[in-house]
Amino acid sequence: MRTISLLWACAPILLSGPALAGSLTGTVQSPGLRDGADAVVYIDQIAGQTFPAPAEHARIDQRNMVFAPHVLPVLIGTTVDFVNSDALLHNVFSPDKCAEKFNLGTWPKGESRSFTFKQPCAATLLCNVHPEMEAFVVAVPTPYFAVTDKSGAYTLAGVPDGTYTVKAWHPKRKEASAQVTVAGDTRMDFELKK
Amino acid sequence: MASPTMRLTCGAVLAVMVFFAADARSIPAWSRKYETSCSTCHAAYPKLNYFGKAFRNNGYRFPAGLEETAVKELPVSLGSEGYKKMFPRALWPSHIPGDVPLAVRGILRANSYEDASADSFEFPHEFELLGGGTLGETFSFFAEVEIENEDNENELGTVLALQYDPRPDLHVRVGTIRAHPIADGQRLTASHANPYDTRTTPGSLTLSVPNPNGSTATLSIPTTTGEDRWRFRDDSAGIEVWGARNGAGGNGGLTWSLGIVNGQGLNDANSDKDLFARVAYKFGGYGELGGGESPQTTEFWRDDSFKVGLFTYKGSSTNSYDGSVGALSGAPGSGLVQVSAAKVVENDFDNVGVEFDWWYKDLNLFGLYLQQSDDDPRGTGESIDTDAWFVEANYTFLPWLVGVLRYGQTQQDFGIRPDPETQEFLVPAVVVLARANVKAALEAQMRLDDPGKGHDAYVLSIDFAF
Repeated sequence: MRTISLLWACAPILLSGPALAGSLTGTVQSPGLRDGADAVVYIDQIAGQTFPAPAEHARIDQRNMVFAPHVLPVLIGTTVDFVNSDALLHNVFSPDKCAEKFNLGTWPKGESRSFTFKQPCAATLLCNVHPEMEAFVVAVPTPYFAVTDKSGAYTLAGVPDGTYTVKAWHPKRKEASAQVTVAGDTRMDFELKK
Repeated sequence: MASPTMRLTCGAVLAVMVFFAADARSIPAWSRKYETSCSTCHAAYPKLNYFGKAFRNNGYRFPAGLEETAVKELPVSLGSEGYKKMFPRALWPSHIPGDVPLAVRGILRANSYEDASADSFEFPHEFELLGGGTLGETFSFFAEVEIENEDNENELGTVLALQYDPRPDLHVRVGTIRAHPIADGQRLTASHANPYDTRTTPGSLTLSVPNPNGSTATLSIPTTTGEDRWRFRDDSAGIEVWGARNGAGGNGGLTWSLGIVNGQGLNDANSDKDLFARVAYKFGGYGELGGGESPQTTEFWRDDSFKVGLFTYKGSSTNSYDGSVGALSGAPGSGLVQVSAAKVVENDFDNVGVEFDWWYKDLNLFGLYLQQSDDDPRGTGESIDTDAWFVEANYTFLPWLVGVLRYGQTQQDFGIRPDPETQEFLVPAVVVLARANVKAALEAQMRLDDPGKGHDAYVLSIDFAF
C-alpha cells in the first residue's frame, strides 16, 4: 500500500520527460568601447531555485603583469584561486564591500591564494604592487552565465524554457536588464550605455 | 630690391611643390596616436577644420565619447580604474601616452623686398618641437618649444599648458593662454593679421633732462624699455576657463572663454592682471563639440556655417624706460659725466571687438573688428584710440591648393594730433600642400597707404611637420 502511494505521488515526475532546454544567444554592444569583449550576461535569481556552489575552484592567473582572465563570472559561493605566474611579487585585493574588501597579501611565483565569493558581487580586483593591473569577478546567483567575445557575442547554453530576468554587465558601462522568455533557442541583444 | 635670381628660385620651388602635390599623409603626434592624416583635423595645416575644432573643444579628445575606439597607440596605465574606489587612500588612476607625443615642425623662408632690405634665404626661419595629448580621462596638455630667427638672433619661445577637462564642454587651462579670438597660430600666411600686431607702447623714448653744464639747452637721452610691450597676438601666462556646447540638432553651437593673464610675459611688469572674455555662436555646420552628422562628408575642409562672436580684453601695462649719455659737467675739471634718465609709463587699455567666420562650400571668409582705447601708452598724457579690422578669404581650389586674400586697416587716432593715421594692408597668397604635412606658400605683404608704399615684401615659405 505504501509503495503504491509512493508511485502515485511520483507519477507526474516519472511520466513527464526532462524539462525542455534551449540556449539564449545574442550580442552585447557597448558603443564607444574598443570591442565588445568582457561583458557578462547572466540569468538573475530564479524564484524558488537555488544552485549549489561548485566544489571545483575557479582560477585567475597573474601572468606578465596582467590578470587572466580579465573578467570571470562565477556562481555565488565559488572559490577563486589567484595564481602568481610571474617572477615577481603580486597582490590581490578588492575595494568592494560585496567582496568583504578582502586583501590576500603578497606572494611569489608559483603560489596562490583563494577567496570565496559568498554574495552577489561585481568585484574589482587590484594588485597593490602594480596599480595598472585590474580584473573583475562577477558572482551571480545562477549557473547560466557567459562572457562576451570581442564581437560582443554570448551564448547561455542549457537554459530551461521559461521566463527570466537576464542581465548584462560590463566594467565600463551601466548594467542592463531585460525579461526574456526562453523557448528553445532564443535570441536577446543588449546595448549598454555609459 | 627683389633680384631676378630670387624670384626665379621662388617660382621654381613653388613649381616643384605643385608637381609633387599628390599623396597626402602626415605623422605628427596626434596623427600617430590615432593613425590618421593631418587632414582629419586641418583644412590646410595649421588651420583647423570643423573636426579639429571639435577635437580641441573636447580637450584634445575625439568627439562623442569615441576617444577610446579612436586611439590606436595604446596608452600606458598609471593605475587601473578600480583605484577610484580607493581614493583618497590611493592615487587617482590615470594614463600617459604610449609613445612620447612629440612632433617637429620646421619653417623655411625666402624673403624678397621692394625696398633696400637684403633679400635672404632664411633657412630655417623657425623650428618647433610640439607635444600634446591626454593624461587620463580629465587632464590634457599642450607644449611647444620654438626657436625662431629674428634678425639673425635665435629667439626661444615656450608654450606649456595643463588643462583640466572635467566634462567635454568645460575646461580649465593653466599655463600659456591665447586671449585673441581668431587663432593667430592657425593662419596660413607668414604675416599676422594687422589688428593683432598693434603695439601702442613704444620700444624707446627720448627723455629730456637738465644739462649738467648749466646751459639752458636740455639734454636728450634715448631710453629703451626692457619689459614686453603688449600686443594682442602674444601668448600670455594665466588661467582660462572655457567651454563649448553643440547647438540645436547637434549643429554649430556656443563657445565661450573667461581668463586672467599677466599680459606682459612670464614675469609681469605689474601686479595688475589682465582680464579677457569671449563668446561666439556658430549657426549650422558641424557641432562645436562634434558627435552629430557631418554636414559635408566628402570634403574635409567644408563646413557650411556662420559663426559670430564678441570679445573684450581689459589690461594694464607698465614699461620702465632707462638710458644714459655722457655729457660735459659744469664743474671745473670734471670732464664727462654720465647723465641718466628714467621714466615709468603706466597705461590702462580696453579692447572690444566682434569676429565672424563664414564657411560656404570651398570658401571661408572670416575677420574681425577691434577697437582699442589706451589712456596713456607713451607717458605723455596722450590717449590713443585704435580701430583695426581685417577680412580674409580662403578658397580651396583643390584639396592641395588654397588661395588667400586678406585686407585690413589699422587707424590710430592720437589724442593731441589733428589727423588720424591709417595703414592699409593687402596680403594675397597661394598655399600648396605638397603632402598633408608638407606645404609651400607664396605670399605678398603689401601696404596700400602712402607711407607704406615701396616697402612690399614677398615671402616663400616652406613648412613641414612630422
